[in-house]
Amino acid sequence: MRLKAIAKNRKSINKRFWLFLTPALVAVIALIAVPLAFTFYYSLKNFDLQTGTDSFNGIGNYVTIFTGGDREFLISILRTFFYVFVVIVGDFFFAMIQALLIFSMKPRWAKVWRSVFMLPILIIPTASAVFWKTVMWAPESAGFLTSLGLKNVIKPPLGSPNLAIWAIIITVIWAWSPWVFLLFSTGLDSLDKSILDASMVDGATYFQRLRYVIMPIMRPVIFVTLAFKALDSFLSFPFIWLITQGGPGGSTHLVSTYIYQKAFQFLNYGAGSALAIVILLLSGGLSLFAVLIWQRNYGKEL
Amino acid sequence: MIMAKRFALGLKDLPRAILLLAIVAWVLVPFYFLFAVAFSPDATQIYGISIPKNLTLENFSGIFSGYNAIWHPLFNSTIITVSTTLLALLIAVPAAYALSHLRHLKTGRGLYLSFFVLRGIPSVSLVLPFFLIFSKMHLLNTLQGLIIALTPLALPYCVWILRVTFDSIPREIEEAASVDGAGALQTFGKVVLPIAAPGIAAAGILSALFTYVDYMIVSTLAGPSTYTFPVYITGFQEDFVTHVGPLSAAALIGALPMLLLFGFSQGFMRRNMAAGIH
Repeated sequence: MRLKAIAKNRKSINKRFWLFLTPALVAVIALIAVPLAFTFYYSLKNFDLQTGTDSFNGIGNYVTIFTGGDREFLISILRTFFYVFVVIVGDFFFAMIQALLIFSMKPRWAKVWRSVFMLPILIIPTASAVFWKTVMWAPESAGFLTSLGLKNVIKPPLGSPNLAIWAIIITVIWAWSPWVFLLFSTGLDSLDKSILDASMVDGATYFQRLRYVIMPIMRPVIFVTLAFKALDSFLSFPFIWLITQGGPGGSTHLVSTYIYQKAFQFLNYGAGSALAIVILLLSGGLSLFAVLIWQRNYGKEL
Repeated sequence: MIMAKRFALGLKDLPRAILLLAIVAWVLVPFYFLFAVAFSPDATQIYGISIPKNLTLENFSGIFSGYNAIWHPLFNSTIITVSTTLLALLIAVPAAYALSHLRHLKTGRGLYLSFFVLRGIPSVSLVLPFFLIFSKMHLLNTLQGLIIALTPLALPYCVWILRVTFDSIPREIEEAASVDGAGALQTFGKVVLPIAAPGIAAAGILSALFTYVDYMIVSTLAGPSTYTFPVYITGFQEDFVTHVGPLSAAALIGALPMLLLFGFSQGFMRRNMAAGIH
């Protein structure tokens, strides 16, 4: 009898919490689910403002994508994976070296240098993108190449189909890696110092400590940080759009910029929506994958 | 050794001092150019690292006055960032509180994970329908429209950080309040919210940061009268000429809100964001 009463009480408490969830569910439906349903609806149409067509097309747009009718798009997916990989590896090494340097300093100096390392995030992304494009990489001043003494060695990279993507990657690492550094550095600060002291007493060298003590403890932090970062890079838009608009010759298009151009510059909303749905499934799948790996390896919720 | 001492960096050896120097150079060289261009009358006079000869403030005075002044975009940014963040928090705080209490249920956990997956939704697949819907509802080029379109981006972040905050509040405190006769809303408003305030502030700052810097949604759905600062700044780049002086000056001015949002709250954010990671 009492157990039943408790169970009933529990249920009513749970009901109360469902009430707390209502605004969020309404928001998700109205602001995410409904718009995405529209995207799906448009993806089934032949909807092109440039030619003025607006007719039902069934799964025609998807057939075009999956039978390779839009080769540029498939290439841009591969390029996006390449871009994500390079940015993640670059961010990881760069931010980890910074964080370990800070970690080895006295607190007073750590504070000073940490602020210096964080400076790039103060420049908002669109500003850094346009600034790097027009000053650091531009042929006139070639700020970056000149300061490295490479002005006459390397041609202005943004005009070259092979080098442009690397120029973007360098810009992105300069502008966004401080976030990764911040999270790594925070993770290191919360390490249990006594474990480090114990390994010192055991006579471990710096790299042994790094490999067998610090890295294993840091693994969850590294995983979450890089998973977030990978997802963001996968959908990266402003830097590419503002620096090259996908050019020269489509050599820097990532998925987001490619779809955006298709829909908003070529005004082909139907095909653009179909591409957007494909990318939605891909990116949703990837983030679900990250969550599942996390639960499997660390057995706890994010 | 002596050198390391003289630098007094607390570094043990020379290799580390060199590494530090290299990293600092990598971080600061672009800043040198940013300042040099912003304070020079003619950017084409800058070659390599040297102190520019004629320093001037005309790039700054240029963006503070006249037809293309900085004030209107800054005003738009403020309105949009603050409203979006408040709206997102208004929705996310009760949701995160409920999810924290429902975490022992399978549906509760599932809902929480689905918020995590929501973060993976590409902006481009939302901005497409928003553009078409807004053009029918006459919401293009309005502040309301932008706030509506930016909220779904801020929401998942807020729910994610806030649930961790609510998880860390001992249930005994709430139980004690309800034993004392407080109702559900009273317990939530008078007991839980004050304890959760730092976490809510952290979530708010983070969502404000991401809203403030957004480019794709604003540049698509806004018009010249509703452009935010990050979109305004891209306007210095025109088809054949870029006004790099005013651009750099504006980039430095734009750093101030970031400093306000992030710089002063760095230690605070580090403590509260760390809670989100572990």
